[in-house]
Amino acid sequence: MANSTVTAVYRFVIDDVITNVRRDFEDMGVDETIMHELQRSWEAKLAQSKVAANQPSEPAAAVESYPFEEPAYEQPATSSAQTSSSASAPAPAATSASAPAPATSAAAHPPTLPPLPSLPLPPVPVAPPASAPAYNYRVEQTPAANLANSTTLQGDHGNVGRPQQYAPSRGGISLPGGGRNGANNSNTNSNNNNIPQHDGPADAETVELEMMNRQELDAYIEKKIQEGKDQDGEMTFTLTMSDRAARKMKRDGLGLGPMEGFSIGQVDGGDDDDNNGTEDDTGLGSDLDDSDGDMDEESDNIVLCQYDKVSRTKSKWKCVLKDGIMLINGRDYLFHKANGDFEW
Amino acid sequence: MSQYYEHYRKSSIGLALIDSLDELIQSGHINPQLAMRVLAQFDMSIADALSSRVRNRANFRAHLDNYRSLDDVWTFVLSNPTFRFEHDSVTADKVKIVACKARVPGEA
Repeated sequence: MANSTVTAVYRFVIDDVITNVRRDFEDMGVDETIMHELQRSWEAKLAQSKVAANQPSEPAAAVESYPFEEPAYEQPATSSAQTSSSASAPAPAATSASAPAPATSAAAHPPTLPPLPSLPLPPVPVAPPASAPAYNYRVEQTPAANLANSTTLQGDHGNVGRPQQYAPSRGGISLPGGGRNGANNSNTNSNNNNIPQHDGPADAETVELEMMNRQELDAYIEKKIQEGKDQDGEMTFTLTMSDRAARKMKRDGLGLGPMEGFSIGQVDGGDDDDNNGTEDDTGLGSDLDDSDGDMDEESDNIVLCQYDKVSRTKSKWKCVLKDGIMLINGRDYLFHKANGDFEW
Repeated sequence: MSQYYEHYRKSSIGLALIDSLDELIQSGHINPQLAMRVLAQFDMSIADALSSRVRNRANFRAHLDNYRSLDDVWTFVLSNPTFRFEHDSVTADKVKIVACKARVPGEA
């Protein structure tokens, strides 16, 4: 229900804007087709973001109650997830939806379709293609992690291509490469092995790091940090370590955790983390400064609204908000009024 | 024009519009002034739509990590919020609220 409202309201906004800027376009001598192009592009982008897509549980109901809204939003949004919409949408609504929106759906289809047929196309010799790549990474990764500290490691220093180590799982490895590009299998293979696991190019110093799994890496990093704190001479080396670690952790979507203060100081000096908490509100500079960490920490979830009242008693906050657009977990919600209770 | 808030431009629908306008400017089809007119119209339309076309009510509780009030704009950073609508509820780890002082659309 919330989402069908979103669709309807967005439909209204787009129509309202386009209707009301017609005059401006005329005044500036810009052709009306440009305006329609703007509308088409706007709708396509909005559909692409999928924020207004209906919950999987209630697409049928939404289609019935808002038949006119569906062409613009539902068609492209669900084209990548065709199964749910085409299965659940009533037949008449579905046909009416596909007819008036050829442009947007056509725009949405090409990106989604090509990858699908291209997968089964290359002749894959051994196993079923669909599940093979995901499975094979596991196969490779386990020996890589297990053998991290064993003798094969030294063999790796000398040999570029790690032939002995990966020989057993070779048949499996060739699959992901073959699925993408049959030609240069053997060359890309070693790269493919590395990239999903750890950082890219294996310089001599870091080879053993790349062979570690996460726990080992974490333990190693923490050890290095301890050492780095104790002796200054060790610092330079530690620097590169934490840099690598930070990049890796960032990519893995992990918080910086126990080494937070340390790595922030090293990796991106600009982030003044000392400025959190109440200091934000006392320091004039940090209030005006856009770069204070906590407030502007990029979060995907954002609520844009207006407030009627904000009040506080001790650490309990109450606020009355209205006219809000919320983007939560990639989905938009609207509210006319909202009451919030926070504890600081 | 200026009596409408512009912060809704940061919403998904606003950003989508800005992207589209950008492309048209890049390709030379419209000039930036026209784009600003369109955005100003968007400010009006979205404010109007939110105040007159949305009837949903919501309640939410959360832990307040950080707050700021500046020039009649409240900013809250909440962790573990739970938003309750009439029929469903949504949770997240973190959410940022940007709230401008309420005003009737069109009034200063």
